[in-house]
Amino acid sequence: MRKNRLILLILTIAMVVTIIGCSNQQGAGQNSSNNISALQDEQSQPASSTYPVTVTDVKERNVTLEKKPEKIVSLTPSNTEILFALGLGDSIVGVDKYSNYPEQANSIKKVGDFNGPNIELIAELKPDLVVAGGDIQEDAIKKLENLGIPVISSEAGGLEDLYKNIDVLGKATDTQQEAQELITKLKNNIQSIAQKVASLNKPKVYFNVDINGFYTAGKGTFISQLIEMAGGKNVADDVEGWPQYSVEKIIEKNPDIIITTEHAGTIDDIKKISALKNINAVKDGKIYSLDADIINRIGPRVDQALEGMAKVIHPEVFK
Amino acid sequence: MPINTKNRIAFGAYIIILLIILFISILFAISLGAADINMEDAFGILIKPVPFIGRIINANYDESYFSIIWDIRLPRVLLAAVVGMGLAAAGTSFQGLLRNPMADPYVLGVSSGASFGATLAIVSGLSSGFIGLAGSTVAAFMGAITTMAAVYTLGNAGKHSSMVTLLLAGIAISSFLSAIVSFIMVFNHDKLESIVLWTMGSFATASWSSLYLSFPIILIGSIILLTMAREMNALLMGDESAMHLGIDVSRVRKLLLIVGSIITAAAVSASGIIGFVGLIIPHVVRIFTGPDHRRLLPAASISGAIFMIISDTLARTLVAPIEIPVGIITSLVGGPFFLYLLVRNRKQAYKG
Repeated sequence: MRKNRLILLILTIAMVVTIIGCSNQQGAGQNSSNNISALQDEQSQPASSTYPVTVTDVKERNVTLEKKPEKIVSLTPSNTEILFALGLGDSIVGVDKYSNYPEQANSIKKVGDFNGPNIELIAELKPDLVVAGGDIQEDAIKKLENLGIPVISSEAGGLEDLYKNIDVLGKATDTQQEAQELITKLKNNIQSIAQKVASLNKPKVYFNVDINGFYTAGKGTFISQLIEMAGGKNVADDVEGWPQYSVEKIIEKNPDIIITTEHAGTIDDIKKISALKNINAVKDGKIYSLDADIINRIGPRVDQALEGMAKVIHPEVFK
Repeated sequence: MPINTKNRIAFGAYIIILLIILFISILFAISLGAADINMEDAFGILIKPVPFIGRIINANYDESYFSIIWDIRLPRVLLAAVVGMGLAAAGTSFQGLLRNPMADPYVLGVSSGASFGATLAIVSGLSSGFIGLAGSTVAAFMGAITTMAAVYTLGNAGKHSSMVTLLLAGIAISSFLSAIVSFIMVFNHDKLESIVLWTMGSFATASWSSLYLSFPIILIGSIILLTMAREMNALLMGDESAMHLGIDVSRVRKLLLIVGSIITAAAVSASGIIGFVGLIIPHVVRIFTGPDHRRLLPAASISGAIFMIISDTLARTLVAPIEIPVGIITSLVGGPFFLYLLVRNRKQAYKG
C-alpha cells in the first residue's frame, strides 16, 4: 500500500513537471525557430548507435558498419564539410582534391579528384568508411565495395537530401547528437532568412555559370532553388540543368541582378560584354560575385550560401 | 580549258542565284531567334537606322529589341557567314593543292593549335584579350598561327620536301597538341565542359568585336585564293605539267598553304572548331560546278556562308533558349545530305 502511494506520488510529480515543461515550450513557441528545435527534440532522442549498424543512404542503398568508423575517406567537398561539422575531422584520413574547407582539410591526404578517385590510394589507407558522391562516382563505389570497404553514397540534389545525408552520416558514425543539432541549426537559419524575404517583391536574377558562352543554372538546379528561397526569380527557369542560354533571351528578360562567381567570370568581364550593356543589372551596377565554394556546395554552409544570395537580392532587409 | 560564252552566262546566273540565296538567308536568320520578336518588327528594327530608307518605318521599338537585332543577331549572322565562307574556301584550296579529297582546312594541325591556345586561355582564366576580343579568341589565333609556322618549318626541313612530309608533320604536331590538350583537361576537370564545348564550335558569344579580327583576314584571304584559281587548276594536273605551264610550283603552294591556314586560324579562333563545312561544301559544290577552281572556289565560298548561316540559325532556334554547338548541326545536317548527293551522283562525286 505504501509502496503504491510512493509510485503514485512519483508519477504525479513527473506529470506536473512534464506539463510545465510543455507549456513552457508553447510559450516560447511564438518564436518559430524555437518551435522547430522543440519539434526536433521530441521527434528523436539522439541515442548512441549500437554497432553493427545498418543505414539507408540518400541513394536508397543499405550500408552496414561493423564498428564506429575511425578512418574515413571523403570524396566530395560537401561530405568533407559535413564530417568536420560532426566533429569527425580527426577521423578523416583521405579527401578529394577539391576538399578545401575547413582549413585542416587541406592537410589531409588527397586521394583523387571528383571524377576519378584513386582506388589504390584509398585502399592503401584502409578506411572503414568511404563517403562518396553519387552518380558520377558509381564505378569507384563498385570497386571499393568489391574490396570490402563500406561506402555511403550521397547525391544531394537539394535541402531534403542534405538533411537526410547528415542524418545518415550521424547514424553511421555515432554522432547523431551533432547531426541533429546541425540539421536544426541549418533549418532554423534557412527559415529565418526565407521569412525575411518571403513577402518582398521578387527581382529577376541571372546566375552566371560560365561567361564564355552564357552558361546558366536552369530550373531544378540547387542554385535555382537558392535564388527562389532568397526571394528572387531565376530568369532561366524556362530551361533545365546547366545549359548554354541564349544571350538574346537574357536581354529580353532583362534581369535586375546578375550573380557570378570568380572563375565563372568577374564583374568586369560581365560589364565589358557590349550586348548586355542595356540590361537593368548592368545599368544599375547590380552585378555581384559570390564565393563559389560556398554557393555551389550543398553542405553545412548552405545557410551561408542562402544568406549571401539573399543579401545581394534583398540588401534592404539585411543591414 | 577556256570557259565558253554560254557556260559563262550559265555560271554567272548560278553565282547570282547563290548570292540572292545568301542575302535571303541573312535576312531570315536575323528575323529568327530565341527572343519573341516577330518578323515584321525584326525587319523594321533592321531598316530603321539605315539612312533614307529608314524613314519609311514609323513604329517605335523597344531598346532591348534594338540591342538584340543590332548587337547580337546581326554580328552573329555575319560572323557565321564569314567563317563559313573562309572554311569552304580554305577547304577547297587544300583539296586541290594536296590533290586529296580527304583534305580539310584543319589538315595542317591549325585546329589543334587553336584548341591548344584556347584551352590555355580557358584554364588560366584569361577571359579578355585586346580590342574587345575574348581571351580564348586571341590565344586560339596565336596558337593556330604558331602551329602553322611550326608544321611548315618542320615539314620543309628536308631537302626533298614534298606535300607528304608536310602532311605528316601536320598530323604529328596535331596529335601531339591534342594530347597536351587532353592532358590539361585531366588536371582541370572543372573546366572540362568549357574546353569540350569550345572544340565543338559555337557562335553564341558573337559580337561586333568578334568580327574585327576574323572579317578582314578571311575576306582578304579568300580574295587572294580566288585570284589563284588558275594556278590551282594547273596544280591539279601534277607538278610537272604545272611547271611546264610556267608556274612556280613551290612558291604557289607555299602561298596557298599559308593563306588557307591563316583563314582557317581566323575562323577557328572566332568560333571554335566547326567540322564538316570545309570538307563537304567543296565536294557538294563540285558536283554542280565541276573541278574548275575559277568556278568552284567562288561558288564554294558563297555556299559555305549560306550553309553556316542556316546551321547556326538551327543551332540557336531548335531548342531555344538553349544553344546547341553549331558543329553538331553542321555534321548532323550535312552528313546525310552529302551522302544523298554522293549516292545520286555516284559517277561524278569526286573529280578534283
